[in-house]
Amino acid sequence: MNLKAKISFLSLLFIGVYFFLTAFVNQTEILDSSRKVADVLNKLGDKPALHFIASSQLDSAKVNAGYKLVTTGFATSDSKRQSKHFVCTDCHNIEREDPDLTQSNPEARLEYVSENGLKFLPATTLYGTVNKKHWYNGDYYQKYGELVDPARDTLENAIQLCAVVCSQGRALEKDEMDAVMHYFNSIGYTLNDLNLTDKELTYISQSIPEKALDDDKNDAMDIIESKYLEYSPATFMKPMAIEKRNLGKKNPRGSLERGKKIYDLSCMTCHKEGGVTNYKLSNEQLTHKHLKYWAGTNKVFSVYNITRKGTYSKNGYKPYMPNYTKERLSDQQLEDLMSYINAMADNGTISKKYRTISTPSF
Amino acid sequence: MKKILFFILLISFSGYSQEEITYTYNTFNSTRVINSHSTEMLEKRSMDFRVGHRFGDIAGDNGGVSTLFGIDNSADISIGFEYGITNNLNIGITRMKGSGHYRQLYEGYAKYKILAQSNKMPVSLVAIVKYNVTSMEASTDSTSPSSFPDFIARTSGSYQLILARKFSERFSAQLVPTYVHRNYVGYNDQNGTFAIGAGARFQLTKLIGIIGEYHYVFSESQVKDDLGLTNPIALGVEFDTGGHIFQLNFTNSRGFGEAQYIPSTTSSVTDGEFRFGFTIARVFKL
Repeated sequence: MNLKAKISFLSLLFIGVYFFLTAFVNQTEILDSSRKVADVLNKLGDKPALHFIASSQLDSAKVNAGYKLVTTGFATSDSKRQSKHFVCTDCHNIEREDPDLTQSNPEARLEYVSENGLKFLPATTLYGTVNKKHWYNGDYYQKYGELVDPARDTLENAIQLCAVVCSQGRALEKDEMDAVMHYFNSIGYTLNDLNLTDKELTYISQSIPEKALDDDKNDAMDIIESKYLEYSPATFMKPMAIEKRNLGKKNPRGSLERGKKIYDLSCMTCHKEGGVTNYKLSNEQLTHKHLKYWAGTNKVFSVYNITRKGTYSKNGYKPYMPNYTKERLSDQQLEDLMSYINAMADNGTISKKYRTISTPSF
Repeated sequence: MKKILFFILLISFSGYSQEEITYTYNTFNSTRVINSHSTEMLEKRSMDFRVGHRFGDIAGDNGGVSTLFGIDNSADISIGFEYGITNNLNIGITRMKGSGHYRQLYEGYAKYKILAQSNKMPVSLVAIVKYNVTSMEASTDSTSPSSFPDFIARTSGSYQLILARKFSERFSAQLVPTYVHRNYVGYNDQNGTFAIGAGARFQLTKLIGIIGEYHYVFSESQVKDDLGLTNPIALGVEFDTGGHIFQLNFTNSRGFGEAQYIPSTTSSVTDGEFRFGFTIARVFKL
């Protein structure tokens, strides 16, 4: 072969390799797992929700203002406080709180939040709330009646209901709502949260380009939407019948460790010193004796009663305690809590004697 | 050398970061023991609304069945609003009916928490400055302590330090040195009065506690004899309902506020001259 032929052969080879490689890369360009789920769904052709703001459109100043409003009640330093009783984060986490987004399981959630330094709260996390399709679900109709009708399908209305009724504050101004929407969109689910398999991620990635088939796009959307709940179920419970209550005494006794977690991460969020309520609890033996004393009744100080019923807003004292639904606190967890209270009331500590007693597993 | 210095710095800083301060809360249930203040403070942005009553003598000349053990007579009535500017600074204004020569009072106070009991600090320390102004009509009798020749004569002040310690979950106690200065007093009275008081709480349950206090008043013996002064003593029960605090008490002092009960308590418990009283306190968030 002469030099000319060699050069042309090599250049052809290079061109061939280049095309081969580019084709290969194009085919397997996998979506970055930090991409927002809402963005991906939008790219797949899903009809965007009213509150949808694409990641590229998020304004960092508004996101910050929204974050400030949610955590402090003030969007800007000169705005009026949204509620003098609560801030959003008194009842809602703003981080992921469920290990498996397809379930609303309080037992799994308690483990997850205590490992991740979060609170165990009565309301659903605001993380990923933009990915939901319904709010104030299930039995919340029992509590708020027709007020929930406009809030069930529209996030903005749900936020306003929470602002005015649940937090007993004022409705959000237009620019505040805008800021909160930017913030909520910034804490939407990412692909990373969905625990997708490599195969599923590849399939979704391949369905994104315009040339992909509509069927593939629909299937990809279905895969994504099957990975999380489109609403948080809410089942109200009646306070446990007095004769059914374990009261932390009889075997099988609840878990003291889990009970302590519930007491510290849930009760003490609001009932600590400096908390949002005037009814203060502590880890003193006297406090636990008080809780133990009332537990077997249906009075307001009974743990079994108050967690399931909450309190109501009344003249002269507007803020009220929310109730815990079945999905936010299980009956077993209530018994765990009661076991902890019982042990603390009797011993002032959760001693070794109590720890050795085997605890039921779920 | 540098290395050694660095290590010393490192150790000292790590020592700081390891020890967490845990504060002691709920030394007393309310911002008052009975008559005197406690070391408890209102939280930032909360308002306390307090209504207090002191009835007439239970026994003695003015008591007994005819006045339903004093319920028919009111020795003093107070209505007050108090506010937490910060967790360590409170202000308050109270209107009191008053008793004796110096009545119809407006009382303003500022209360500051200097030390808070914690795992590093054995006691809490609070300072209170109070000022009173009376709006009562001046007496035409120029020898009367209520003739008030000028505005200053209508005022009085009291200055207190409160040193308190929560000894256990149930028991707390405090020591209260007080100085009261009245700008206009009767000819046989003294302007400045010093007293030292002690208060204590014993918590029966989380919501029910027994409270008591006693002040020893250092008046000149001549003044004491002329006016028949006694030392104020009080004993009570308090109920926390998870929002309201109800204090029911028995005390020999007739008036609210240091300017009244420290220098002008004349009732003697042994003569049956003590009274039933109550205070209701409600905290609101603003």
